[in-house]
Amino acid sequence: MLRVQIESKISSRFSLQVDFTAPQGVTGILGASGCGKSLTLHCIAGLIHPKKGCISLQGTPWLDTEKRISVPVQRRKVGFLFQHYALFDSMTVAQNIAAPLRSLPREEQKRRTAQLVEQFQLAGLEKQYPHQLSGGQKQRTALARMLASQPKVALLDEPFSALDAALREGLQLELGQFLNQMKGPSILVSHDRDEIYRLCSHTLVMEQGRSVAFGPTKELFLRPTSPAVARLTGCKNIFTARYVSSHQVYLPQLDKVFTCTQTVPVDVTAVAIRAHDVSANCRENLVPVALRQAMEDPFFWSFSFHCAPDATLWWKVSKPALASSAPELPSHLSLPPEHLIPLRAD
Amino acid sequence: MKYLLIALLSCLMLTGCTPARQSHYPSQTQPTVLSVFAASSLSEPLTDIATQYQHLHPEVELQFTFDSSGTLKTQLEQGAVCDLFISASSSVMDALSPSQDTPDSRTGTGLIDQNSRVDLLKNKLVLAVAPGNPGNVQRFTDLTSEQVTSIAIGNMDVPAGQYAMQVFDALGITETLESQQKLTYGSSVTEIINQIALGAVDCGIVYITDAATAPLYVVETAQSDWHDPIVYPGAVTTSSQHPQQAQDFLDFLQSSPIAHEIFINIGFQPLT
Amino acid sequence: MDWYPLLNSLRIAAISSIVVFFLGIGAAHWICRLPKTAKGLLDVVLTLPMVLPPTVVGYFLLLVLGPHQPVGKWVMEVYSLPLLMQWYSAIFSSVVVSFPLMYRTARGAFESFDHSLVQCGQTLGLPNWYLFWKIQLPACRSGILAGIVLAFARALGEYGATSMVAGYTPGRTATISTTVYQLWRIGESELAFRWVLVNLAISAVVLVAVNLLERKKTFAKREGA
Repeated sequence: MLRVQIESKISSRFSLQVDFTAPQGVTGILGASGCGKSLTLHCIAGLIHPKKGCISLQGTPWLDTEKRISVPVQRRKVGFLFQHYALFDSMTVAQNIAAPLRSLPREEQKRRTAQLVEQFQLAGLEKQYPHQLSGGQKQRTALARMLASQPKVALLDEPFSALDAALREGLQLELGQFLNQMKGPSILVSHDRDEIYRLCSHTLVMEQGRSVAFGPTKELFLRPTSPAVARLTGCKNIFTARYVSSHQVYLPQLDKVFTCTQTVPVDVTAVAIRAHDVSANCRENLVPVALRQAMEDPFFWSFSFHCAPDATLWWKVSKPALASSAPELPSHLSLPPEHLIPLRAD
Repeated sequence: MKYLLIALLSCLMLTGCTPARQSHYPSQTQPTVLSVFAASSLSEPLTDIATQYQHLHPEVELQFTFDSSGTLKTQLEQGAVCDLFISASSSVMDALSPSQDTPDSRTGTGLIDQNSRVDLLKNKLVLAVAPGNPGNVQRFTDLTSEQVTSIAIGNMDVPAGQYAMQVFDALGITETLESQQKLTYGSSVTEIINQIALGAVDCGIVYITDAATAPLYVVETAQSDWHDPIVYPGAVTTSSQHPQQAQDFLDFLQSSPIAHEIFINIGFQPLT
Repeated sequence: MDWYPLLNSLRIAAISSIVVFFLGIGAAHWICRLPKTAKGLLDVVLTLPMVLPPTVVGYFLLLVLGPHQPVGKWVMEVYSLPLLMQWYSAIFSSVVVSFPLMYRTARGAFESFDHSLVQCGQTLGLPNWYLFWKIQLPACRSGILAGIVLAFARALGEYGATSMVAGYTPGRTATISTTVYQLWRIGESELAFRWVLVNLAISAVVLVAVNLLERKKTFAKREGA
């Protein structure tokens, strides 16, 4: 659907190397700040010209450095939602939304604008200026304006980073509904894995300018394939590992062999286990632990333990409702074999 | 950016590192600096004469300020200090002399030493054009004709301008020229010379000495009875700290054969 | 009182401000997008007329526009138009000395402008010229306005270069500045002072007008924030 292949040296210390195909639906790009996610989006939109690359939508090339094809931004028909919405300050809400419609006859412009105002619940705000709007209203205006241009692809750059945490969930639902109506593929960039998990059917994981994994979101989260993906999908416990047998690994940091339900590949380099999968009840794969720090969240406890001279084990336990005292801390914790995930460096 | 700033500052400091003036007699004190204000038409000859003078009198260093006599007069009135003043017009010098029986309190501010005043040189006024005479101006009387569209002269504050107006009066063409709006009044002879040389104006009225140095082509020399005598008086100022050295230089200008030769070469007539 | 210098100065300042407006924002817009070294070099070159003595600027203009110099000669041959010693000659000198002011303020305004607005406009399919005139310039309004005011004031007060290229002919090429200077030099200080007051009055009117325009915009902005 949207084929993206970029290979470009941006500065002496940073290169962009991305390769993926976004299907219909929402694809997320997950990565830490500065890993090149926004850069990739800018390349897809045509705002940045990579030195080497190939970008095409449904087979129509937008960029092909070898054949010297480069379609200008205006003709790509991409909808880009900037982090701070990029609303035109000198224009009202209605004028902003009508801007992409300027080549249409007046009556048509008015009709479409009214329709979009209605669709995005901006009624009554038509004459306001961007500086008079709330964060959510700004986002809806930006989306309405984007939709007015009838884009073939939607690109969203950290759409919720500029909003209060309390607003986020509600707006995420709204945005999800909006994106589902999009005819072409959408790409959503974020460093927040919850957002990616909620809204994206597929995810591209990026680290330091390179795409390291691509696949269905649920799959990536459930079974990350590399330490980078594990880390970015929120896995806190990652230990170096060496192959012992198809279901056994040796963890040098803990100096012990562990059983693993999943098949262990011969070139395994690490294993991961999610903090909430660590168990106090299982008898297998036990690890002696000593408490380092306890952190209390509203609805669960987060503990970090010393389990080896140079290793930390995180354990997350949900609090039973209204409990306020810490649960009893065991001397050993188990890394259940069914939750141990073998990883391969890429 | 940092390095650029350092480089810049280093350059500035180096310019200040000029060697101390080498005195031929190391045991001597610093040379006396004489400040001379002079009309701009004297810039070339005086600079040449100064070089010769300093050879003979290494204990004296001459510093010149050249500008229109009117401007210099104003500067002196406003408190500028110099040792010697040489003007292109007697009236300017009169204005700076101590008054005895002039009723107008504006003249005679007493800035020059009347006793030292001497008339040094005479000059002539000419109608000048750029080399090649592209405007084809032949004589003063051509000025009123159609082919001449612009004439540059000094303004009322520049002696050359005053003399030019006198020439027009003598020829009876002043009113015609003013109504034809052909005259453009420059603030200094340098400005006029530039405008003539680069063809901005068809012709202009300057001193014969300016035409020689520019160089400009002289079309006609004004007859001496068309204007007041163009006399260059020189005098020591009352505010001078070195009146004796100033007087010595003035005497040199007046009577030395070296000075006379340089003046004559350019077109001045020394008055002995 | 002969009012010609007032009319002449106003038309010269107005015309040169308009010329400088287009030249200044055009140059600023183009140069903003060049690589750093080229930008720095051009900045220096284009700011030069501001730091050179006006008589040097005037002399240079004579060298270029004189009837026997390349540009002047060509214009004379093709259009039979003398470029020097006319009332419009002062437009050249005013443009040259006030251009750096417009250029620098416009450059400053463009540098601090959030270009993501233009980028967003591009993704919406809006053409570049529309984005420049309807989005970028209005956003940089205060900077541009400041530039115009400075350019107008500089053009109005320009003396040295104007004296060289236009000369001083009362009733034809006289401006307020050259008139004031001439009057003062010949001792007509009272008349000269009257002209100074006229000059101050014009400047005051222009500044007040600009302030009012600025106030309207800032007030509107503050209301919503």
